[in-house]
Amino acid sequence: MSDFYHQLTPRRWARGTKTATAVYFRLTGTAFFTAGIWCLLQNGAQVFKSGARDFYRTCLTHSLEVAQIGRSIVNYLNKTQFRSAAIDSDLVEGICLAHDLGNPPYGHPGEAMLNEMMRDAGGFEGNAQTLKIITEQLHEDPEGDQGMKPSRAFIDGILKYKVLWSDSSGENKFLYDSQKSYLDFAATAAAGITTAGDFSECQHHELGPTHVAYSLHDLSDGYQAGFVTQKRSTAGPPKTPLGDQEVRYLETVMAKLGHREDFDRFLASRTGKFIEGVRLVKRDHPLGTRSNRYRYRIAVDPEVKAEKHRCTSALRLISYSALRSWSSLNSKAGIF
Amino acid sequence: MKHIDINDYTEVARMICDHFAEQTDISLPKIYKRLFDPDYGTFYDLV
Repeated sequence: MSDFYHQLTPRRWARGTKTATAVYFRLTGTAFFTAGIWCLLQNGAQVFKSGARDFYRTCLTHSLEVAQIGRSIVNYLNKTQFRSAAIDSDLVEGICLAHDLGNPPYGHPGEAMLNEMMRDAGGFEGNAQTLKIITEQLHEDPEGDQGMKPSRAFIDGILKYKVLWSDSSGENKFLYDSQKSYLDFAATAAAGITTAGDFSECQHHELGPTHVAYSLHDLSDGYQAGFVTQKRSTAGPPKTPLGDQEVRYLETVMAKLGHREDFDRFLASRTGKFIEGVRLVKRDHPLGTRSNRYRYRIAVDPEVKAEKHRCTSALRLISYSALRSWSSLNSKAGIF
Repeated sequence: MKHIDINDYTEVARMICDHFAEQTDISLPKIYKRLFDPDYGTFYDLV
């Protein structure tokens, strides 16, 4: 790896100190396992309210799955496309482990509700909350400074949306206004990078593992719980009917399988195919000549992308059912 | 520990929001019941 790689990516927030990349990326990922807040994720809703059933995904297992799939994708790309380890799997793993830390209770419906209540006070966003927890809450320096000091590459990977709350529509997908400095830090390094999210590692997080885990495993959960059924896939919730393609896909899958557990196994077998659908392609970037990080972008095989899209669409059935059961709970409790 | 200005709506709202955001699916209904259901919980819950 070139000096450039070392100079730029491990630059840390705050004092701008540098640590050896290999050590630091590993430590960042490991730090999440030792953080108390990590345990809270086990009672976070992924698809279902926690405690509803014995075997299903929670935020914690989802994060672990995402980290594992992320590592597999890096491994696959490094073995097939590069002779040397061009992509840092420790960095990707750390980013994957961290990506759901800021999720509020009740998952996305909970996020939407908090955002609604915070509409006059800066909004609420799970991804922005993740960054807030990492940079303000986790760990404490010997000097008494609270918050981790993540590397530039790490912050870049964590940031999913590159727009501030006051510049956005305020619905979702934004950062808090107070986080402008992190956005600037990630976007403008010494070498004149203009937009954040340019590392190939960051694109991994955005396009790869979390979507694989989401589309496959959550669908499997939904199917096992009986939320996704053949009947429902054709009827669909009134506001978000499934497209013809998604219905056909679900029907073929379900026709093949007689038993619910088979569906889980079937989807598990898709994980490998999804991982192999990821490619790196060259692109033009001002820094492409200096670092592999900027020379490539992630491309997903069109066939795999289409299948992933079908799975994700089928998931709308689950979100709809989950949302409905929660809102009926809420109206019973008389909160909303 | 960060000190906040209790007259500043934005800061207070953010603090409350953070508090609820770090709850879990289990602890949040407990908080609700403790606040609004007189029959729920024991005094050990408060410790």
